[in-house]
Amino acid sequence: MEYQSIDVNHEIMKPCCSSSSPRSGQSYRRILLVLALFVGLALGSCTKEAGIEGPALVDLFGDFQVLEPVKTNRDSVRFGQGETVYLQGRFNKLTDWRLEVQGLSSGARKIIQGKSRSLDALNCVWNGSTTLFPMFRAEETEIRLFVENDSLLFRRRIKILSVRPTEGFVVADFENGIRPGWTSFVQSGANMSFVIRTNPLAGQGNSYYDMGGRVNWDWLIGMLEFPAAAYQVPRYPLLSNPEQVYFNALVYLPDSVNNALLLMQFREDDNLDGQYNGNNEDMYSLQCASYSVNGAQTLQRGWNLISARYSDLVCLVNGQPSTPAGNNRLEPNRLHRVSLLMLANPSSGYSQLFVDNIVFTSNGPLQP
Amino acid sequence: MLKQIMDRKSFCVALAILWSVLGSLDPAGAQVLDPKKIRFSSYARGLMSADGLRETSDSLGKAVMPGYALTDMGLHILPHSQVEIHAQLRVRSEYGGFWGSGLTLDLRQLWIRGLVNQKVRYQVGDLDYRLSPFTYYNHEEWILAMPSLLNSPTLGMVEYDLFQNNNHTRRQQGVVVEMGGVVDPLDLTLNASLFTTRVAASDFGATPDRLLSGGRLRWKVGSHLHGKVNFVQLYDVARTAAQPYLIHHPVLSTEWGLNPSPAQGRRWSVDAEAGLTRMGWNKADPANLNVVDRPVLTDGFGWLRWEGPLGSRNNGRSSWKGAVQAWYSGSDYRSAAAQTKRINATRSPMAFKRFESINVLRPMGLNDLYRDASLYQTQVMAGLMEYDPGYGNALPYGLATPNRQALAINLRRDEDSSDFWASSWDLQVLTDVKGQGVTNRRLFVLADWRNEWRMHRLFQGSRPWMITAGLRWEQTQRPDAGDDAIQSEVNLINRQVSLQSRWELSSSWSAFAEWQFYQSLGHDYYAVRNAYSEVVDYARTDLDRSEQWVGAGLRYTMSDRFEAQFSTQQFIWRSGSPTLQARYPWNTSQLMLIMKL
Repeated sequence: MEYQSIDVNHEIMKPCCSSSSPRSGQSYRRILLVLALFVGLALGSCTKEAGIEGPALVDLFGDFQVLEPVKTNRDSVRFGQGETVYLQGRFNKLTDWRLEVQGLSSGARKIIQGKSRSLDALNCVWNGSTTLFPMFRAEETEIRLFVENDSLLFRRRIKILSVRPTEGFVVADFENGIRPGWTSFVQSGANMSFVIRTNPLAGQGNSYYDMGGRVNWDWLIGMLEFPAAAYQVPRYPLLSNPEQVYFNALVYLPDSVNNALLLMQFREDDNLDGQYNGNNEDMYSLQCASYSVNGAQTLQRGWNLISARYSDLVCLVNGQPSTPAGNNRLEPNRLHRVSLLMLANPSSGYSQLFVDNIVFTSNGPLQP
Repeated sequence: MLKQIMDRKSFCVALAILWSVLGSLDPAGAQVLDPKKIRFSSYARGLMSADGLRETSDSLGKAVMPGYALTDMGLHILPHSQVEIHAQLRVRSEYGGFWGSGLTLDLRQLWIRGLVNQKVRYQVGDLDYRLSPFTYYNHEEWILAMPSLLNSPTLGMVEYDLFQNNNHTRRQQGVVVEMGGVVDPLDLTLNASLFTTRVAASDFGATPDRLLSGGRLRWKVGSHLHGKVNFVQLYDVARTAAQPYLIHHPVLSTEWGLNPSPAQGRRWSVDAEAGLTRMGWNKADPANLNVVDRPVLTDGFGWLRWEGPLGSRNNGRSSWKGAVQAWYSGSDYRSAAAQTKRINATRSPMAFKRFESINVLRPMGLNDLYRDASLYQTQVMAGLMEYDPGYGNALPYGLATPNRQALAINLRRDEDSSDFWASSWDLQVLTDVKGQGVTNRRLFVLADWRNEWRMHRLFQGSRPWMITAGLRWEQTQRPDAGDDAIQSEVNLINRQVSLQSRWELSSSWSAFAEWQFYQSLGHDYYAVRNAYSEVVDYARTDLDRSEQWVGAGLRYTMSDRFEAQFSTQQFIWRSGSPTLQARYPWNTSQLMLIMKL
């Protein structure tokens, strides 16, 4: 690597190497040759590599420009027939955008966010689903598109002619009253309201179930049960794999209520005799409450989507984890009955919850 | 039977103990301190300085008078003719520490080395190791390459303390084994070395144990042709911590060199290196599908250099030498042991930590880099460390900088010549391999000129008088195309000017004076990288910074074992960038003594 010094005496013995001018000429030619080689090598390697390193500078520092005006693909939509609404447009740079849809009568909201150079049917599409409850109805909506720093870029009204159908097995949406076969138990407390109500507050459609009252001697205020027989089947028509089955319900917590506890029970017909026997068959539970309870989802004010995988249900006895009485296997295809129990501490006074759109879905939670 | 065995065993143990006791009493076997088997080495230095820094808004300023004395006491023990044990203790006392309150005692280094059967050499403990500039190398920082009569002694102290030296080795702790041999019929010489070191001490389970291992096979055929195969790998040891990812970072290269016989008038040489790198984070549990895959970066590099004499010769020797080199490094080329920088740009200086007037941390300046060891990185880092574009933008990681293709020319007039002057010229032209954020690539031009005039030869003086001038220039540019959506207008210039003079007053005393000016002006887009060293963002960096110092001093030397220097200088730092507008003069007077035994 280092330059090696030469032996002068040895040089003198070789006149051809010590004569300066011819040798210098050779040296210059050799140097030029080497330089040409290196310049060629450097220029040869100057071909541009495909692509750039890191994000494009224009995406980070460029001024925002609309290259193709934003538009929607339709003015009215039938989600019930599989139609969708999407936006089209093109920008000069990678842009953070937010699409907000608001139901003008329901108040439902759908929010879609993204970062892209263009809007199209793949990245900015609305299939009628809901982000903030209640769910959309057949109503007029307003679509607004915000880009960079929340500046409004686009606004348009779209009319929903039919809503998105609920996927899965609908246990109850309360749109058609109390289904024959459902059973209820209501304590004789004060201000009891275990009734279906029809008003704009509904989480889905126009109706929901109001569970409220004051019972100062028992935790149980009232309950509503949905036996499989009410649907003319001995057991719920669900998949056998508990990992693939999801229980979903919309639960509304009124502003003034702080003591509500909703216990959902799932009774299985382990021996397939068409009955549920608490002594030798499984019962699993799911809880949600307006306050912090171990293992229960804490409800926020307004509508909440409760979604639980069937395999995550637990056996509870008096609120404490326990061992199931039956075969100790979670078997949704043997589900015999679903029960909703409205509970509250007897000393805590009046309590109330609304329930709507109780649905079993497969392979994922409900996409409202 | 068992009892017999036990009795026999007890008897043997008792015999062994008795033998040991008798042996220890034997005068012939007693341990005698043999001066030939124990050797001492020592290094000592003392530094006292008076520093004053005054911000524009602070009429009084701040002043400190730090100082310390330290000694490194080395003990070399040779218990056997082929084994050497070395330990070095450092005792440091801060001036002003009373009755030992400012005293620290450290074990500075420890190693054992030796030979096995005269064939295999080994060293355990502290190691200084290097391979090639692309694989395992401690590159010098561009900003510190200009010599300084005023500040080089303190920079030398920092480098000595951190085991950073001109050999570009990297200090690690581990084990290295070397062996070699000659294949006579082929005139082939082979040397091999293997090493493994720990990057950091174990924290017993919090982070994976990270090792740096590798080796080199060196071969030489005759005296003209030689080559090397280098391999180094940074990796985490599985199951040493509950972490989802393990780094796997191998670097492989091969070097070739041709030195034709000077005896035949061929004084030139050609050297080349090429290699491949991979840096990835493997899943600790490959079967765990919940852990997402991390990026894997693979790329390569190549380097070629010709070096030889230029022009006519005086007395059979040319006074000029030249070198041409070209190299390429891919944008995803990663080599942790070569890309770990000496300067850690994320740190803040210890002295005068804040601008009191604007209550922000004071950024490091050249005056800090010449004195503050805490600004330097010692541990090998995976990925690419952050750097200050104002302190070297073209080659922040030396030759190991990724995403570069370059052509460099060096001209040097023989420095050993007794002529009136000596000179060296360096010119490097580089471009990005991949455009950063745009398709256009940046163009870097680096120029370095240094000249020394031996004035005593001009005036026939009896004592040497040298004047040295230097100019360094680094420009970063990126041409914008007219139809580009963004006009980045990248243009960053770093320049350094130096003028120094040294007079030898006597055989021991010399005086010197120096002025240096450094300026960084312009802007570039600094690549912000994620934990996997991928570029995820660009930060526009506007620089308008200048630093200059002027000063003089006296030096006393006695052989090469004792050196004393007194100097005084004023350092002025200024920043006029939009993000930081500040200025301060920093006056320093210091007295230092260095002794080596």
